[in-house]
Amino acid sequence: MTAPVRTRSNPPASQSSTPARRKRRFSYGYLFLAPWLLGLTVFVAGPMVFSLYLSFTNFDLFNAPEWIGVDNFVNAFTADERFWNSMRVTTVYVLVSVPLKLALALAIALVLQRGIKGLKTYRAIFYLPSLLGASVAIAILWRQVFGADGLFNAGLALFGIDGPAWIAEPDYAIFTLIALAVWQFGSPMIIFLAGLQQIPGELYEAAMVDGAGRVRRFFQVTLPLLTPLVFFNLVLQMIGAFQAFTPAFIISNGTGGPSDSTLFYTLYLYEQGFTNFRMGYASALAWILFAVIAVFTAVTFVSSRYWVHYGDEGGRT
Amino acid sequence: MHRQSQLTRRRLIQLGAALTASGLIGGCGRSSDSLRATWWGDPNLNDAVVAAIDGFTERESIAVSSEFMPWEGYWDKLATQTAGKSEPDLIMQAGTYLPEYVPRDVLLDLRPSQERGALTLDALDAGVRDIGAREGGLYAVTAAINSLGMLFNVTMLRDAGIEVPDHTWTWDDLVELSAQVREYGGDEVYGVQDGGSDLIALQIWARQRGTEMFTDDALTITAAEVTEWLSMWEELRARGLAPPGAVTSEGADLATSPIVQGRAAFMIGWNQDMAAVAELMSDEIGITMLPTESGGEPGQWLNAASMWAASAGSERPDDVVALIQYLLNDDAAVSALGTWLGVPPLQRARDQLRDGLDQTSTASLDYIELVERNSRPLPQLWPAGFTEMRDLLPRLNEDVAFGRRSVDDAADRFFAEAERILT
Repeated sequence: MTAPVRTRSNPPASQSSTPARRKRRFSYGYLFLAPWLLGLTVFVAGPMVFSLYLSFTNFDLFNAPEWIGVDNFVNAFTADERFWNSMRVTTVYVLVSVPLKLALALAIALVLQRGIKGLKTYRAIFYLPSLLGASVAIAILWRQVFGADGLFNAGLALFGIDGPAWIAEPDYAIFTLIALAVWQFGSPMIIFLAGLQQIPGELYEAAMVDGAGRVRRFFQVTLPLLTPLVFFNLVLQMIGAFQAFTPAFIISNGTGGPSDSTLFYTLYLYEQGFTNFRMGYASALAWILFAVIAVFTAVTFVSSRYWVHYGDEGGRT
Repeated sequence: MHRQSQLTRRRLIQLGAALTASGLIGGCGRSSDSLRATWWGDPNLNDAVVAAIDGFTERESIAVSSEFMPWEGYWDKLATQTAGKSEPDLIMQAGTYLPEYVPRDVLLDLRPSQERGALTLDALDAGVRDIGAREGGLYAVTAAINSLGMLFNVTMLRDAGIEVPDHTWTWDDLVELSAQVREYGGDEVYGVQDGGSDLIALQIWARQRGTEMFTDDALTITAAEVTEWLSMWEELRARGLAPPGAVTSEGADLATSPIVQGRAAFMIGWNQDMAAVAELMSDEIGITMLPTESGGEPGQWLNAASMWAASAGSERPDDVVALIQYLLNDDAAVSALGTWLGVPPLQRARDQLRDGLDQTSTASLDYIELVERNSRPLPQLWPAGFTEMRDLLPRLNEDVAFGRRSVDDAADRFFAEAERILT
């Protein structure tokens, strides 16, 4: 650890910059990286390349894959009703759950930031759902809460409302899954909290001196300075939401029902690959999802130029 | 900020890689010092099978290591293991999945062992013995038999003064009795659980009218029949004799099903479901054959509840065959297994067990013998893709129940999808 420091503080010694030495240092870097690189090639890049190959084949898991060109993709787009349905269900889920989740995370972060008593306890409590949320137990609990005789309807009954069986009605089932996703607002909340604490107090003081009210301060100071974090959370949550699997799998008993109304894309993909032994088709579906996520992410990145403000930009927009 | 996200992702990948690696090391390679066996079921079933296998190990000095899982997840795991060529030597199979596995050459042909006398199947009924026969070979032997039937709440029918059906009843009787139940029970009680989703019930219904659902691996049921079937259930729902879509959908688990909740008197189910339903409620549960078509033919058959198969890649095929032979024919194995797997396929085994059984198991056994006298073996097992067809009908029936499709549209869809699935 001390060697580089000395090199930097002393005038460059002639031997320290010989190509051989630089090369050796270079290869040490790779040596240290090797475990990770090995993992990357064997467990990520390799399977990805293989699945790309499989997406152009007819592969039933047991027999050798058979090359069929782009048939899988053509099939999905032209002949598969359930493909489009799962795409629609997933898109609705992403477009509704992610903004709601971020809004809730930000709202709770703003409340917690005020330095109330027992902040740490509250923070832990609000973060808890994020730890539990993806688990099977919670998904089962959700079935109970939103059932015809569940907790939610018991609450509605207090106001004289006779609620339907939320998880069993195709028109509502997706919203119970959205509610489950929004409830897991913990990790974006923690990130927002960290971001809020970075905002210099002088800015608020200056704004107050200028006569800005609470709402104005939020929209003119807090929100613009938080946009990098909003952006970060948006990208992460969006990718996560597109890949959501467990809640729909458990809540619908793996069927995507009722009436395919909770047939998430990943659920359909899983069903094709592992239940119906169409691994080639499932691989094609995976790559279509990859492309969709890439497009959504790219659009977010491109648009970020217009709404994300980094503090070091200098001039105000 | 981006650095942070990469770090997280990298650590996740590393964690994933580490987990995968440890899983691979743990799961890879065929161990040669003990046979591997796998089956599905609950812990009680597992204890019984392990006890039976322990007897085998003791006698033959062949060690057996076993894995068991619930039905959900079993087939995913088996498919993955088989694809990775690390499937166990002894595999519990099902009639519904056998057609997927046989053409893929992953199961051992047991016919030569049978001819050699290493596997004795003489005491089995021909219909039961041939369930595992395909493409000229024998790929699985029946471990337990079952049959679909109509479960009913005896207590509820008796309280309502409604006649308890016997096996000669008709589909019209079902409608009539359901109407009586509805009248007795009021708005929250339906006659029969929605059975429109059950592909095997549809198959039996069609056979009663002289139509086989499949012939030579092709779909031979007609559009008119599928339409009539879906219409029958739609009408039952419309009249309040079967529950609406949301009630059915919410009651997908046995514990929340209308019959267990006391909201239906009839449910199409397997004889092994009877014990499960009876355990969940205090009412007495009975079973009889599905309603018949008056003047029609017997539609039901004795079905394999589970089967034993051997991996084609096993390094010790003779030992696996010996184990199957033991589980099927040995008295010690018969008493260890009891009726945990279901009703034993051998008459001798049934006689051996009968005295020690509780009421529900006795009823289940009686039912199987009733079916035995009033059934007709399937000409052939289902085609590959049957499991997918079995997921298709519930979706369509559900779409109809929720008003998302007309009956005609659902029937069209059934044939369109079937064509894609079965080719």
